[in-house]
Amino acid sequence: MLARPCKILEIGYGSDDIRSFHLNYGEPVKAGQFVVAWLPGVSENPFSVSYNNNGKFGITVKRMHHKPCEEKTMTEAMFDLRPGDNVFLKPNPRSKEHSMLHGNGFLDVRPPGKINYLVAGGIGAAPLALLAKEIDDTNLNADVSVMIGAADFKEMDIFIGRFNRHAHALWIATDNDSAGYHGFVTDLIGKLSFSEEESIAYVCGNDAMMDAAAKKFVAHGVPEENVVLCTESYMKCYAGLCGGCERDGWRVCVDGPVFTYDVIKNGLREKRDACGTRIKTF
Amino acid sequence: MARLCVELFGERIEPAVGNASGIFSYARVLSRIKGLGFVTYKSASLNARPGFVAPTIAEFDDFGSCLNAMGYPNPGIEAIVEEANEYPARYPIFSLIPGSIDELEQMIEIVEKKAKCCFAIKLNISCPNTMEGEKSGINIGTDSKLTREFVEAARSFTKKPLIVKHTPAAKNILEVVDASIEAGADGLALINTMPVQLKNPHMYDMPVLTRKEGGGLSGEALYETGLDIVRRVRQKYKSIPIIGMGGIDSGLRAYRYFEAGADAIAIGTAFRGKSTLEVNEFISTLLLDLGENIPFRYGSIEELRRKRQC
Repeated sequence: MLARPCKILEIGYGSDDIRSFHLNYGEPVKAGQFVVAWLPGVSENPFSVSYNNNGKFGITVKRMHHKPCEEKTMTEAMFDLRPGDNVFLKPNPRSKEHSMLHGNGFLDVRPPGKINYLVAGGIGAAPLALLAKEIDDTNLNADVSVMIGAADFKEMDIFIGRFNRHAHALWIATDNDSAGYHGFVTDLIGKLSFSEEESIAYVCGNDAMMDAAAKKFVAHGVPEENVVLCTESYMKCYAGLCGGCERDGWRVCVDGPVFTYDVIKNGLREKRDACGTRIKTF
Repeated sequence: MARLCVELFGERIEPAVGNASGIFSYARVLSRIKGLGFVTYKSASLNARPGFVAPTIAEFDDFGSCLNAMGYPNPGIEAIVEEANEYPARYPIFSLIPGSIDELEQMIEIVEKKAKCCFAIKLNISCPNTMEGEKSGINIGTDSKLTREFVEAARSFTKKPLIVKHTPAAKNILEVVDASIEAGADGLALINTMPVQLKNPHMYDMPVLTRKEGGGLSGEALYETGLDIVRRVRQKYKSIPIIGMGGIDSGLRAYRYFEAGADAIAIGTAFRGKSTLEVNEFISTLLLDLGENIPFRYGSIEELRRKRQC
């Protein structure tokens, strides 16, 4: 099945460089899964699903500015879009039902425990905002604590209300002291008091942040299999065929993007660029 | 499974099943794939190459068939060799897609000097996703003279087993295969993808891929063509080793390729959408089918080979 057009219903404005796009499409989704959006003439990129409201999807996108000698980026082109415009969604080749969802979800990999920590770095909050709602909706009375960090408070603004609705506790860290704790979100992990109860940590942010967060949780006694990371990678085929998205031998587009720390920890330090050349992430 | 083994270039390959070039691509990915008898790495150019901007692949036909215009993105032959050394496979094939005879010489030298293990060198003169004006890939494989020139050169640069991968798009495939064999090829890989264009009716007939000329067709839609070409080449050449590929997605389809005259087979598109666990299960099931269920109904691969040799 080929790519299908999908109308943008509404746009949510976060900061200058963060916007949500609410799409005229929906299907049962697990936080962590992503859609593949194509803008003809620009590019085709993966985006984590961040909203699932009344059966309609939404994605939250951070605009990445292109370098002077380069072409306009996909996210820049998306910021030119208005409600009523189309993006094209690419279906998942795994699914005979023509699902537009790719990859696995957080809760596929590790169901919520009694106590759950959601740790978001920057735009990593996008899939975690959906996860908070998902755990809430399970009615398991699972405890959800959220830690969110960003360069500036304006970048997390679009997520705060959503986390407040579904989490029991919310801690904030900013690089520039615009709100909450002045420092890294991973510092907040050290300030938690861990109980005997089984804790699951769900983390999403850049590789350095996820590795630091995982190490902190492990140091506090959370087993590596209970630290769940949502990774990303440069993707080309979205079908597990080309190997371009590979990290430590796993193909992120089909084996992930969600992995537990014990499985992916050796893959965080390296990824591949467009040529397939291995590059260090941190 | 002894009944699935083949003697290829003096080595006993078991099973006679590998991945198609460009599938999984890198040694580290292949290190997690279990059950293949031989592996082929991504077709490499001398220098790193990013390929085309996405979308570079589209599935259709209920995902049975695939169109790709990756444009052979690769980190360069040296990086491929280094990774192969780091994550070794027992029978690795290095696939090369040179832009010139000079590049071919340099690439072969890198493989010979730096690869700790090299089962064979594959010359890709059939990739359809070249850029305009490039003297590489399919632009060579559709021309008998150029084919002869490149294969002769490769032959002079290496004593390693030399496999030549051919395109189904050649006007007269037997003529091009002739040139390959006369120029010194030790084996043939039949076939590469078929160059076609595909437009999306849901998008005002816009081409589905970034590359405006279209891409290479693989999977279901390639099966009959691949089988036919293997059959016809085998009819003419009784003993040249042939690795058959094109739309193999089951033990039975693999068997048909062996029946048509292939010595070994490779699988590509059939792996689409599968996690590592699922790929390994798929290979395991296919080998079980090919090694146990199918011989029970149709006879074994060895019987096919024996019949052919009479």
